[in-house]
Amino acid sequence: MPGLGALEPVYFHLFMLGWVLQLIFGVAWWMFPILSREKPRGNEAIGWVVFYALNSGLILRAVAEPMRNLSTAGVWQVLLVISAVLQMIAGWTFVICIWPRVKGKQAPAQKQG
Amino acid sequence: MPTLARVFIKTALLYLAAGITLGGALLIDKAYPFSPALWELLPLHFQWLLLGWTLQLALGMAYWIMPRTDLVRKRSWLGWFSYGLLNASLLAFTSAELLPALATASAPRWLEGTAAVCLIASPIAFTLHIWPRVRKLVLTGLSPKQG
Repeated sequence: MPGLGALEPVYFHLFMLGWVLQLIFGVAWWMFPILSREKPRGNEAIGWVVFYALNSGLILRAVAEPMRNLSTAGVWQVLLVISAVLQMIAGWTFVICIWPRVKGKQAPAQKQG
Repeated sequence: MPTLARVFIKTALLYLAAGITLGGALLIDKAYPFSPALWELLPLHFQWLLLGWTLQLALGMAYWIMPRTDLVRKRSWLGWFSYGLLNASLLAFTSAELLPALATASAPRWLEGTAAVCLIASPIAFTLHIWPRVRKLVLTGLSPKQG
């Protein structure tokens, strides 16, 4: 199919962002040093923002990017911009929320009394 | 997490932010073209995300979690050397790509040569450091199960 080549960027990004990046995000969220006993992974809601932004951005892209080549309707361009913004939000938010967890081992608290 | 692993991972996070921002700008340009020159930076998008982010994160994680000998990461200078070479390569490559876009002058050949040489040397240095650490984990103080 000649039009199938237009799906190449979608294929590449579904693989690199949907699989590789998302797996890295998940594993880092799981095993990076915890922040504190009370809130080991910080604000979990922010983690969910990353998850939803990344996946909604990718799904929108997977639809809008090929459709932009097939149709002249402006809606696909708008959706493509929204998908770009969502993917950027996912990346930045992940960097901000994981940054404080890239840290050394804390000295164990001394026993009281 | 040891210092070098933190440095690797935090640098990787910066490349992720930069790479995904450039990628987002390219995608927006696809929908509403605003700068054709932006597409000349496409190799930077690849390089920042594949080497600056993915490879650098992998090196940092490996340095952190691979088994140690007597709880010590021996010859850690090789790890630092690898970090320096990888980032020198990325900076040289970035300059070589940005120069023509910003100054309308072609990048000097030595800049691309430096990027290539550092990129070859960095994984070699890291391999020399990590090779002895790729082994069976021996937990001292635990006796093997008796059959």
